[in-house]
Amino acid sequence: VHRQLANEIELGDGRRGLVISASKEIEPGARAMLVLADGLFRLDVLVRGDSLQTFLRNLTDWPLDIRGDANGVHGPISASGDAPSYSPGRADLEFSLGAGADLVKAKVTIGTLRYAQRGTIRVSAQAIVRQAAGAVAPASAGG
Amino acid sequence: LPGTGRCCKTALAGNRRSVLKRERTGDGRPTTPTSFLKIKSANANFLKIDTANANFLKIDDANTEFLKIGSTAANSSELGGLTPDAFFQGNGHVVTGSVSSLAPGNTPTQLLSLPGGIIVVSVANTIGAELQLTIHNATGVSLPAVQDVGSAAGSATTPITLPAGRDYMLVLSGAAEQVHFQLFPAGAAFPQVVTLIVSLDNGGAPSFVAQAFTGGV
Repeated sequence: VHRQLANEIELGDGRRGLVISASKEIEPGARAMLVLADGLFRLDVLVRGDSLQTFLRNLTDWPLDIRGDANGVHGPISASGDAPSYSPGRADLEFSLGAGADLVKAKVTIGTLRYAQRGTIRVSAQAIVRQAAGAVAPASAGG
Repeated sequence: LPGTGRCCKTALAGNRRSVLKRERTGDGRPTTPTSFLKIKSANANFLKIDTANANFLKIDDANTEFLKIGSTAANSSELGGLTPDAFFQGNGHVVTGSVSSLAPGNTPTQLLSLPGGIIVVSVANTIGAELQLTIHNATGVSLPAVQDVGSAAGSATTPITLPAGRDYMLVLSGAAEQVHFQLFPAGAAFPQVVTLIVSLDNGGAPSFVAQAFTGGV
């Protein structure tokens, strides 16, 4: 069962956006849906060894332009307490859908925790989806 | 030299002869010419190099130690020791915290803290009661949020408010496995989104592991 929180947010300039977050504990080699933005995109993940593979499905007729690579660490990560024993990791993915007045941008931050005793990995994500400035509202999205 | 019976090449050299002449006092003792500095006068009037070294900063040391007027400090863009990218703009921040085998006690144990301590999450294994999860909101504004408490039986999503400068406390039943929060923007005082996911292992002594994601909007 896929569970996620998806809520509208107000952006700094008054436009509307969407924040979607979810978390799943998966076994290595298993592919799982992590984030679903209805009518826009679906993000799946697969952990293979020490690598995180992402699958991005474009649910629109608009062109997809991926700008960030989930294999790279793009921002700060910190751990406290016993957290280092979970080998916390981070990956970032940025992409846009559409063009011109129909441009939607998405920034996804993915965090991983390794449960060594169970042999599983918890993969969590926060996706912020926003209209580009001056863009026309896309089809409604939710989860 | 006159009066010594010795010859000196320098003393014989024209106009320097007078320099080497020594005036004599009435009892025949030589006197120091007035053109030379007396050691007592030097001590009284001039600074010794050792004293100067002990009291004054050398320019080379000053250049390496201190900021010049008009210069920019290397850490001038930091706030609370953190660089700007730690404050939610750009790529945001991922913070992970864990507490293993939480012993019974009413004093909360910090699970994680967002940069600057604006949001602090703590847990307690209260004596004779349930587990408690506390979120302290130090932003100065009340934050709209939602919480989702999940267990094997399902989950329940509830809109909540994290009061400004105060604690929000959630009592967790023994069946709870995961608590999921989204904190929403609250104007200029909090222009960001925070996702907090807390996983709970309640077999025996409870253990918590949490990850928080921040992102500017």
